[in-house]
Amino acid sequence: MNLADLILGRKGLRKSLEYKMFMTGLSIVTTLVVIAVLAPYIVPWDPYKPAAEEYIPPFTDPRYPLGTNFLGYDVLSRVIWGTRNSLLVAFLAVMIAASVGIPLGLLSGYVGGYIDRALSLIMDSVYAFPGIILAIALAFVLGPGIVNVAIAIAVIYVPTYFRVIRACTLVVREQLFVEAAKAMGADFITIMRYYVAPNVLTAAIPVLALNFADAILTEAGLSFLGVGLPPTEPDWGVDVSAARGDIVRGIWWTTFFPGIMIFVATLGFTLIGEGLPYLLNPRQRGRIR
Amino acid sequence: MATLRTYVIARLLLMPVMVITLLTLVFIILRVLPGDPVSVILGPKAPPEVVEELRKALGLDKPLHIQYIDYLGKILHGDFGLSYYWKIPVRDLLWPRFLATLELSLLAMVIAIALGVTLGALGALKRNTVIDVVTRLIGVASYAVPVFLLGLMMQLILGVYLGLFPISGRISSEYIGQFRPITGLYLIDTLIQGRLDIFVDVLKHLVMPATALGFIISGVINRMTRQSLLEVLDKEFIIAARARGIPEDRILTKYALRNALIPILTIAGMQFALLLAGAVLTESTFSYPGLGTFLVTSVTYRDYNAIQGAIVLYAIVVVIVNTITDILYAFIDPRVRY
Repeated sequence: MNLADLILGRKGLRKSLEYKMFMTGLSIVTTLVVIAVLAPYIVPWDPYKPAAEEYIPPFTDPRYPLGTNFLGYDVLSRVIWGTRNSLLVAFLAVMIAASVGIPLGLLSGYVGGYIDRALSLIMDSVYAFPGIILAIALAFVLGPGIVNVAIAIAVIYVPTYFRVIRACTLVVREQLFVEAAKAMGADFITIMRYYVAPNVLTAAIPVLALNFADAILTEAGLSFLGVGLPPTEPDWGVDVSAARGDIVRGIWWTTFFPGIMIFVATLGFTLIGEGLPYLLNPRQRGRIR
Repeated sequence: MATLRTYVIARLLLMPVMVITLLTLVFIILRVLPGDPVSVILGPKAPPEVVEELRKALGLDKPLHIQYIDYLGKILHGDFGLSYYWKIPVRDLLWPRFLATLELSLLAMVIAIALGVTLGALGALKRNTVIDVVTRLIGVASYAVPVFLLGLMMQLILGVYLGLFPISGRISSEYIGQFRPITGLYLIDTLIQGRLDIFVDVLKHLVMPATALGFIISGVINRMTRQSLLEVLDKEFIIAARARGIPEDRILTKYALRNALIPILTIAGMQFALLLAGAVLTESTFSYPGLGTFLVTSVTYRDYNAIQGAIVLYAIVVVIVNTITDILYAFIDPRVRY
């Protein structure tokens, strides 16, 4: 099935819950990406500067539709700019994790032996470790900043790619066409690049979407704990963290709006990741996670 | 059952290997990676003689392999060093906080299983109806909602607006020191000492964090229940039971759920890492004095030994729990042993 069939919902897909989930997810993610890209042009106020007096309630003043926070920053502008930071960190983290995990998985699965055993042991250990705790340690050592947070998060997901790609490589390397390539004298790099890799990479696609969801959640979590992005940066997690004291006073909008954006963004990517494996291959239904 | 015995022994022997691998990982992260703990602790503008002194105190002036052996040796003796901030051994700080986390996690797990099994069973029984769609969407939502958002909204509505539960902490201040911590699990301690008033107070403090954390974990259990119940309901012994005229609700409880429950409980055990990770955020949201809060505050204080100790304890706990679930799984599913 090709991508056009998938998006247009041909071949009787349209009725399935998975199709609806996938399309909803895709719409959410597309909207968020557009918001992130256009952020500098659509923010009503500078998200780095106070816009008015503090704690204006939402839906009362049309100039500050979502109200203002404890420093008088416009919540809507912070939330819009936060989309940019959140997606950027998640994107970097997923890319770093994939570009480390996939080659290692290929190598481990194809070469086998001691390298495979050592790599598998390390990856299994990292995989078993509660992700955010590992990320806290890394973020502590690396210090704040977008790239550093992305690296800290990426380390958590390397084993996911490693495991998926390694398992697929184990199957592919036994195929006849790989043996044929070897018999014709193809070198290691050629076999990996033209024979093995193209056949295992599709397995990483649903993982990518679910990882993206998780990365957004982890970044928000780290920032909420104060070890993610610097406290001045407009970011959903940072903003919720800064506003947590407001709850006691019954002020809800400063935590709710950035918080719900984390939920919506994570939901979008989760829905894509949930729907995709079913749409690509009905037999895999419910096999992810 | 020689194969099972072999598997269990092999799995137990693997435990120290995994612990050492994780300890090595922690060592690499905290000491070998480019970031220098001394400059992280003191900041970039510290005078060089102070830097040198701390470097010596931490043993960072020695070559890496000596540091590594020192580090492993001390941990194997249960020595986690001295906390800079609290000025007492890290080990004494870790234990009560670990027990607080354990209490929260166990209650959260109970809630997660109750919620997940109910929703999953409903979904499976009402397959392809609105109820099925709703229960599945609740499952997806539980993956996506940040636990701190859920927690803060609960604090706002149940705590601030309705005043039903205290919004933070583990116990009201007037009860501190009113009972002896025997097990360290306050619910049990207060109960065996007959202090029902404190028991209720502790329970009230636990309700919101445990529910928030339980909901996050329930999604996986929800899905697993639906899936394994659907599988069981297709089995021939269910059809046979129906043919014999056994009432539908009895088929569900006596025949289907009992068979589906085994994989469900195993999956629940496997969520332990997720539970610990969620607990860090939950504890922080509710200012609950557990291991997670301790780790986060230690990061703020740059308390190096405390951070290392907390992470090492997490690692050891994870390895122990994983080993136990793997062994339990082998008892249940013969295909795992080889």
